[in-house]
Amino acid sequence: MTGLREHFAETAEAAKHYDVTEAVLRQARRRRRLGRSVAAGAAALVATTAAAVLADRPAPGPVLDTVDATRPATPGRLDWLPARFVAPGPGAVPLLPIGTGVGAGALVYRRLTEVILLASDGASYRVPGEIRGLSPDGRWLAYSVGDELVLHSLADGQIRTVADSDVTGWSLDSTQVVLTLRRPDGRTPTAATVLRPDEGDNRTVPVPDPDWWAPRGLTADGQLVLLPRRLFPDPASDFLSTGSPLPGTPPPGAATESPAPPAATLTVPSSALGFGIGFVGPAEGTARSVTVLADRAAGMDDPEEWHGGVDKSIFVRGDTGGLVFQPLQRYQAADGNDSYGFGDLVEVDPATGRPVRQFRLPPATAETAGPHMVAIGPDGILLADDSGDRPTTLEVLDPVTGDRRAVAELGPDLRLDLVRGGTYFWP
Amino acid sequence: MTGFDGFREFVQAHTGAWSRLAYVLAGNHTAAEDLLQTALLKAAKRWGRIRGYDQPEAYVRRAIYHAAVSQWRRRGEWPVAAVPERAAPGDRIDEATRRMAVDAALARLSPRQRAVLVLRFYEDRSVAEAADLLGVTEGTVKSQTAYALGRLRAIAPHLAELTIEEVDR
Repeated sequence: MTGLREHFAETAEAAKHYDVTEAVLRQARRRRRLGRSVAAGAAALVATTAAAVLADRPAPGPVLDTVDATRPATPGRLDWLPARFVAPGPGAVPLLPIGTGVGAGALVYRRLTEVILLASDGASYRVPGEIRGLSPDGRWLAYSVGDELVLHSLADGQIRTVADSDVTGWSLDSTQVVLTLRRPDGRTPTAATVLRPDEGDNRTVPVPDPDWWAPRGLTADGQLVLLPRRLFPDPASDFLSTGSPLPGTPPPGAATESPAPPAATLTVPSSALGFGIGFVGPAEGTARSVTVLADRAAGMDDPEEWHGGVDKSIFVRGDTGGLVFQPLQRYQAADGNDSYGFGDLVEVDPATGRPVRQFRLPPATAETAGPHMVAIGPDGILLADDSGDRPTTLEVLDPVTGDRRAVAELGPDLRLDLVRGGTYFWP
Repeated sequence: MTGFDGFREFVQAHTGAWSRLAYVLAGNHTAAEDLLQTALLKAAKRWGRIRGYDQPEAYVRRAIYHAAVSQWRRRGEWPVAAVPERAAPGDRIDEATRRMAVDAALARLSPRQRAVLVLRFYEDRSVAEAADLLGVTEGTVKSQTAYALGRLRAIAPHLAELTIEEVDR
């Protein structure tokens, strides 16, 4: 008997009896009714049914621009990312200084419990808190210390502190950061705060139906992006459901930190059919949503899981204004069982929700889940592959040509936390 | 005939064992329940086929492992426990602290590494059996086990009794 065996045995004894039988049967019957080809049939179904529900629902578009990015990555480099870097030995990494600039940051990596900032000049600094984000230009590092969030200017070492919040996105020009308060009562935040860390100006943006929608980032023109919360209850067997309050939702006004949300109804389709993206204009406070349908042509062909991963990360392309996400994709593992890896990237038009472009990536294999998107910047789409047994690699994908360049590799004991433009937050 | 005849009885007969496995893999009740539901939904959709298997429960067990690895690939979906400061090898720690430290150390592992450890040290599976269940090579199981144990030793030195011989069994 080893310590680990004992530990697992004790853990198992603490398990509850998870009686999910009836819930599973309800879901299985519903999916059976919808049919195996629900994703393929969704377009036609929506065209005939949802048009009456959503006047602004777009007609499915047959044309999808495909960018082949499956070719092997070639060596390359980015001017803000050191071509080579060596992690200092454990305990030898200096603390990130306050009051003194260290130059723009490139990425944040982790070695066991040490969280380390890699500056663009190749120097490493220990982050004195829990990492939350790094702005697209590498100037602002966000981390939490105690009950405060620190926005640390790496240019001059000045800091700005606000109440402990998640960083859920940045503006393309790095002048604004989207924050959501970490409420002590654990409830979902009812508003986002768009903060200009340089000046300290901030604007509170109420979130319609906060139990259904979570703030993410900002569109190219400054609208707050909302995505459906991953773990919300499936909207029963309704084909389309509106974001009405859930049973048990705290009453309006209870412990809110925002003015009343805009009088708008955002629509979330059943997860088997797709997902929604919401938008709130920070200035006018108006809200709208678009529906992104599961599109087999775009690789979203698994009615159970295709939307997985979407609500965690969605990024804006600065050159097109499109929103890019990466669904999980089912593939057959070596033993014949279904497994999930990272699928191709999909870019949607924020005005219509229609997929306009697909970036085909090397498929997942039995040994690796494939590269996953970690940010989008002026250099292209940043991808990381840390799923296999090899060291983590960082690639940049040219969204026009599909060329991928391998621009960094982390040591075997290092784990990539985030790169420029990246965020780290609770679901 | 509803197409799910016998499914309810099948699940109820094995839910206890599956719940324990899901909890050991997931580390918290919410995620464990989610994991079991995901695996059982896959089984329900294929019930017409797998009900004829000699050991249909093995299908669910395998689905739990695959769901665990797949779901954990979604970064941040399941909260990761905070890691306490590293304990020095000579430090005296009580049992509750030890458990917390091991839980935190396990939470820092990759999904595949954790699944490998559960297969080896909870289910007591051989390298070959673990490789078969996860759909990877035996070499991958060995390397992931060794790497995971190394990380656990670094974070929780009181687990030093884990021996390399067990890795190669």
